[in-house]
Amino acid sequence: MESRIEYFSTENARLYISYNINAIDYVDMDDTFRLEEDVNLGVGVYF
Amino acid sequence: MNVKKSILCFVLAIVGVIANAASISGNLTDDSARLNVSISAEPFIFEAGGVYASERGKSGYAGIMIESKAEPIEIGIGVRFRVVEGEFGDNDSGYSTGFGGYYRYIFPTANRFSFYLSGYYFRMKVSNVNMKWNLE
Repeated sequence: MESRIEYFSTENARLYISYNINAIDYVDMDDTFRLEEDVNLGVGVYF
Repeated sequence: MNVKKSILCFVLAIVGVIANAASISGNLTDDSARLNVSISAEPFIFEAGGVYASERGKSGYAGIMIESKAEPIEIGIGVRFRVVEGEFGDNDSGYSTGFGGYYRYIFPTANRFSFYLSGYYFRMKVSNVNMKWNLE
């Protein structure tokens, strides 16, 4: 799951800060395994 | 073999002709990397991507989505085929098909800013794998 606040710096570029969770439930694990759980800065290019 | 290459070239050419937008996005930290690529052929979006997390595992996906845009809201729903290779223990890798989508709200009074939410739910389908589900 990913949530972002995005900023269109130009028509073709987007900067964002995102919070990502990638959770896996294993049979023999009490809690979920987090393959990813981070706050990131990202960039998108559109063309 | 040549027939397969010709079919692949034909498909890529068709996608290239009908596509009217494409995007590449991603981020990089000291212990993870994420990359997403999408090609839009409205109302469809073809997408692929992956994430690598040091000491935790990696995963990749390919999917198709149908989207609708009516400012200030964009919504897409779709399916993804996903491969996961966790670094948790034995039988920690597998593949699955998931359903989900995205929602984007562009703030009308500050339209350079938007809020984006994306989620997919997968049920792991490989025997001999200890995963029940995966939320991406």
